[in-house]
Amino acid sequence: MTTGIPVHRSIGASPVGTDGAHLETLIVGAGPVGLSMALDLARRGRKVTVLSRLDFIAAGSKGICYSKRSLDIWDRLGVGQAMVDRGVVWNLGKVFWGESTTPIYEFDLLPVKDQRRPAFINLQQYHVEAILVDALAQYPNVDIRWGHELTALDARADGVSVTVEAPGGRYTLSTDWLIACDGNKSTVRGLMGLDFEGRVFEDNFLIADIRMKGEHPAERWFWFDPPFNPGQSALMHKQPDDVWRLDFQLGWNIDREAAMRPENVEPLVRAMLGDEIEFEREWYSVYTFQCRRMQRFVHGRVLFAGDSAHLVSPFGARGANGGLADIDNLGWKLERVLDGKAPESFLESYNHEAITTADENILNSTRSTDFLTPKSTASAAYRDAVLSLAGEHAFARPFVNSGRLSTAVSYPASPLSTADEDTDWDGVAPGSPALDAPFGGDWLLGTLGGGFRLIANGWQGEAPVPVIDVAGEALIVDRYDTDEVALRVVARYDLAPGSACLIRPDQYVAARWRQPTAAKISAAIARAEGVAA
Amino acid sequence: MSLETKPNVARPDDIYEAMIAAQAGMSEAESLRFSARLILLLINQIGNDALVKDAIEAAREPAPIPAAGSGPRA
Repeated sequence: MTTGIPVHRSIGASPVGTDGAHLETLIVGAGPVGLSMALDLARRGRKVTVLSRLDFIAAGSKGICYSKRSLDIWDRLGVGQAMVDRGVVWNLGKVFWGESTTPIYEFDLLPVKDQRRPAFINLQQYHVEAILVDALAQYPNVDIRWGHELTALDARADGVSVTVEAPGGRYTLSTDWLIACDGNKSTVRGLMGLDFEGRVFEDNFLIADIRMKGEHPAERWFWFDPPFNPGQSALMHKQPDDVWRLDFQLGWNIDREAAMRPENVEPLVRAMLGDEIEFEREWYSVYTFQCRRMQRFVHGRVLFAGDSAHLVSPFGARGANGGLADIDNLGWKLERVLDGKAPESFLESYNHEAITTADENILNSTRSTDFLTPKSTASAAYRDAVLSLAGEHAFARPFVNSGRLSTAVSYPASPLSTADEDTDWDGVAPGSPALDAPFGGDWLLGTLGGGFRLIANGWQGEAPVPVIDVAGEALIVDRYDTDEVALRVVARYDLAPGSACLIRPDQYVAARWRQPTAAKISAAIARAEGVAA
Repeated sequence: MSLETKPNVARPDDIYEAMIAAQAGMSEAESLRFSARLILLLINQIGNDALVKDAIEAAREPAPIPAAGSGPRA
């Protein structure tokens, strides 16, 4: 296949599929979101087919920042350690202003320590995709069709018919469900006549990923108005294999093609890093961005996930991480519908929760963008006031917004949550993601796995769900000092003796009780599973 | 706590003069930045989001300002 797109790993076109074949689930798109969706369903034993327009894994670093929550999801999918082993771990961000080499603001993205995973890893998108493709190769129930492009679609109430163009010819398929993970220019979205709502930003940014030997730390460094890019912003971030992400704000009304040419990129790189450095081009790209989403992500039997459904600016790493949150939310719900254990309307909870996530990501991304590129005289004055105050006064530093980085989103109004009976709770509320903690020589999230679980501090009798009893941990805490106690499950979930907390298959808290009973737990599970209580 | 809109400053003329004097000789841009710094310091001092949002609402002018000479004279 000749596309002009640089190749990271050649795979070659898959043979033409059987014309008229019927599938249970078709995933369109083989980026990090589509491949992770496939892996989630594959591990549940579902047959799944993936269409990849390209017949190779594309080079170009693209999405490089993967959050703790994404690593937790990938742990559940069995590839978390492979990602961490290949990636660069980081927790710290620094923000600089003007010529000063002293940061005006530093932030630690993992304020709660003693969790298995770091705040972030940086990893080129092609490495992520390669790890996922290799993991999927273990599953005979997965069929990735390389070089196969969806070109037509007929969505009905009970399924979807599609036409696929492959190098060996055209064929048709029908599927009960179609998951569109085909990115910001989604063919599926376009063919269905659907669009985004929200804001488009006109500023231009240059990504200059370069390969060089450097001694900079594995931290996110961000500059406002640096001498090497006056009046604009810049970012520097470490990737594996001596690759560095450099990002330069370019401003409006520029020639985008010209800005990407090496003779125009290299002076910027040398101004930033010094005339004497030696480097090679890894990937240059100019981008603009949007903060928008579809009005709904569930359209009958067509489900949208990732960039096909929502777009944000890259400052905050909320694109790919937001997409991984989608598939994590969708997998267990779709399985229940496929098994006939929940009605199709259960997927409305995916629509609700994934839109909650998208809206939080869009809100944060829009605010960061307004700080980075002020749109009015007053906005610029306040931005500069914050930057000028931040050096001298600690109070101003939290106002500095160089991107609020992706964290797991809570669903405070989720229809799947059961409200607290008691008002004296600290800890993790229903609708919030489970917090990791050291547990039993391992980690809590790893112990939870991917089903409904009850974390209890002393459970008596039968339970309608597997119980992880932390009473033993509670008994030994008096042997530790207070810092040690604070990191225990009991403290993190505020589990006083007798209390219990119900965890969903996607490791979100569904309900919690001071006086749990089997009946209350069963009712909460029924609610969380979309079965009318 | 609700937004204080009754007199709460001991010597209004003194503090008013100090604020004007601090911006004497500034360009509009410098004055805007000074005011932004001042407001951010005061927002932090207040330390209450709801109160600051009430103040933002109170700062909006309720109706177009009457043209000079058209209003009643004191």
